[in-house]
Amino acid sequence: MPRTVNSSRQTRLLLSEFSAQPQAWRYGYELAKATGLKSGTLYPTLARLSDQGLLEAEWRAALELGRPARHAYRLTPAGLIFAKEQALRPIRSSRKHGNQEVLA
Amino acid sequence: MTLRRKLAQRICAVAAYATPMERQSLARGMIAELDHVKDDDAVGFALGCLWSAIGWFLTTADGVIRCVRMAILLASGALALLGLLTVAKLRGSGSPLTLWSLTAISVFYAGAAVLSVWRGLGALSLYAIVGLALNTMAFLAQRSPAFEAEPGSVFLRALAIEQFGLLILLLGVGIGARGLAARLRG
Repeated sequence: MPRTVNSSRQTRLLLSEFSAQPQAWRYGYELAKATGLKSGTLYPTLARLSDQGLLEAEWRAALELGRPARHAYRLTPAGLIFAKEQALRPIRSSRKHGNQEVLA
Repeated sequence: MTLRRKLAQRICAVAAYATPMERQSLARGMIAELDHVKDDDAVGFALGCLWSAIGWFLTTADGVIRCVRMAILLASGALALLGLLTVAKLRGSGSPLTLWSLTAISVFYAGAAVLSVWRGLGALSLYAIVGLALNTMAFLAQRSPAFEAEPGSVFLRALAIEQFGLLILLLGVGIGARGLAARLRG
């Protein structure tokens, strides 16, 4: 079966994290902590999802005084539908035994 | 400010420089985020930013062109320098034909180095075609009996053959990189 564009484990982990709080704006460091992804994986994934129109980004003022504004991300309506679809799809199948794992 | 944070900021500055224009907004977001990262995580976070920037750099048209131009600059500059150093070493002992040939080749590579920086890959491909034509003429001239009698004629013939290979490589890299960049833009 051909691999779909957003079928990597990291992407699905990120989508799952976003869809847990779909209305909330999330920050890079917070997402890295929550998903366990390194920034070198996280940011290219965010960029790809943004390019596909699944994520929106905006600058938001920091809560602490004197701190710079932060770049925040959240799912677009299309992104939310996509994340829900992905959550229902099997993430890995073993050719040998035909076992399938489903993202919780 | 801790040493770790200073180092992380330096790494992020390099990442921002390497990030192509179309990803600058995201790169600014990564760098701003560094102020909110704990000291212990700062260097790892910055290295990840640099990794992302390099990835973007290598998959955009401008990045590919800049990489190839830099590689051609370094390779042709090194060959030009090597040729000139050989000329300096052989001066006095080598035949005039060998010395002039090596000097011409060194100047040719120096030209390729300058052109790769100054005019880009299109001009460089044209330069490689002209070089191939000149090299073919030199190769044909080397078939004369007078040349056979010259000291170092075997070396010069080998040099001409090697030049053919390098010029074809230069042309291929120039055309290939432009094709790849066009695909990435499209």
